[in-house]
Formats: sequence, C-alpha cells, structure tokens
Amino acid sequence: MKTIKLLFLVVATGVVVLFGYANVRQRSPTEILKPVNLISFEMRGDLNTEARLNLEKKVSAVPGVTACSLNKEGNVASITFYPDRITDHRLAGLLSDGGRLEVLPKEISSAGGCPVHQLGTSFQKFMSSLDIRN
Amino acid sequence: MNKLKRTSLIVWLLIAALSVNMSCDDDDEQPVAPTLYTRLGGIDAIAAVTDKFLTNVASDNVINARFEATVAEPSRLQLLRNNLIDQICAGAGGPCQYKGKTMLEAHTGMNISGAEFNALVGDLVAALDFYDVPEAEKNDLLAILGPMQTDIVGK
Repeated sequence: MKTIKLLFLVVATGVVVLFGYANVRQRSPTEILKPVNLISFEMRGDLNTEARLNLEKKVSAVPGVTACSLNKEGNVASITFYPDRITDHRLAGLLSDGGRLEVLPKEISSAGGCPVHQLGTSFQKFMSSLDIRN
Repeated sequence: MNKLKRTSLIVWLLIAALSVNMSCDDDDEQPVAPTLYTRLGGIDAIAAVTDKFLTNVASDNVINARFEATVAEPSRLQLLRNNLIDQICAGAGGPCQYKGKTMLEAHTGMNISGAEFNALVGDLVAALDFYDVPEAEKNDLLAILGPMQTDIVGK
C-alpha cells in the first residue's frame, strides 16, 4: 500500500511538473501561428495571364485564405487556408470565377513527398497538447 | 544648516549633470541596425511569404510532384511550414530555432536536379515579389538561403 501511495505521488508530481513546464515555457513563434491546410485543384478553361493574376489576387483576398497561386500554364491552382473559416467547396467556387472555369480536385499521391521529420517533434506535440494557452 | 542644504543641492545637480552627460555619450554610439527579421516584418510577414511560397511550389508543374504528398497531409504540411518559417526566421536573426534535419540529411537520396532547385528559388522569389519585399531584403534573404544549394542538388 505504501509503495502504491509512493508511486502515485511520483506520477502525480511528474504530471504537475510536465503541465507546469508546458504552460510556462517560452513558445516558439511558429507554435503560436494558427495551422493552415493546403488544397490543389485542376483548372480547365481559357485563362490569360492577366485573368490568372486577377483571379489569384481575388482569391488571396478572401477572408480565411492565406495564399493562392495559379501556375503560369493556368491548369493548377493551390490555396492555403484556415479550415475553420472557409470550405474546400467554397474555394472551388471562388476559383471557377462564376462558373466560367471548370475546377476539379487534384489527384494527389499520398506516398513519398519531401522529408519533414523534426527532431523532438513528438515531445513538442505533447507539450503543445498540455499547453492551455493554445 | 543652510550651507549644508546648498552643498547637497550642488552635489545633486552635479550628479544630474553627469548622468545627462553619460546618457548623451550613449546616444553618440552607433545605433544597432535592425535585423533582417525585423526588416522583413516579423513572424507574420514571414508566415505570409511562406504560405505564398508553398502554394507557388504546389502549383508549379516542374517540382510539385516532390511536394504533393507532403502538403496534402495537414500534419506533414504543418511540419514543413513550421520548418520553413523557422529556417527563414532563424537565418534572418529572429527569435526562432530551426529544429529540422540539416539540408544535407534531408535531401540525400532525393537526386534533386539543378533545374528543380532553380524552380524552387523562382517560386520563393515570386512569393517575395507578390508581397513587394524590397530588393535589399530579398537579396539578403537569398544570400542566406543560396549556400544551401550545395547540400541539396545532386545528393
């Protein structure tokens, strides 16, 4: 019984220390930034350079969108956005430019990609999950 | 008693004059030049440029195949985004620490060509131009990132 009490005390102290550390440590600037999603679409239709740049600026200015790019061929559009503020469907609607252009979700391979492993990522994620300031 | 008051007043005036003189001396020192991080506009401006850079890359037919699987997965996208922001922020003298792999470790085995690297740099320049980043800041930033080419291309 004494051992259980001691074990409980050690675990409780550990939790309090971790929770305390998570909430008083200095957060990195990127930890405070709100996460974004990125979506890509295939575009079909006539789109000259001027129209492409105008559409890019118009979509970039929509609340909830942090960036929008259309490639120079005008056949791929990518958007970063806050998923709690704007939906994929609405983004596709914006890119269609009033139905003038055909906008389809881009097929993307889920395998490969560039390596983005971070040292200590799991520890940082754990700390962030304990941080009530987030 | 009056003499004592007068003496202490003179002493205080001397101390005050000395303090003013010392502070004037401080003013004569060269002002500290703002870091590139400050000149770029801080973390929000760097995040905005990074997002534009990511959408440029994701829509760029030359290199988007390299990034698609990463940027389409929200958790991997956050890691990549945070790494890029941390790297630019730290390189520019900001209060960030790059926590990712070294460029050599991250790109070994990927066999990235010079054309792909140039396309990536072009996407970054386009992102900086989109936000009208002045030429001096743009060149300073590219000078920090440029030397990474040897650790990225042909590995």
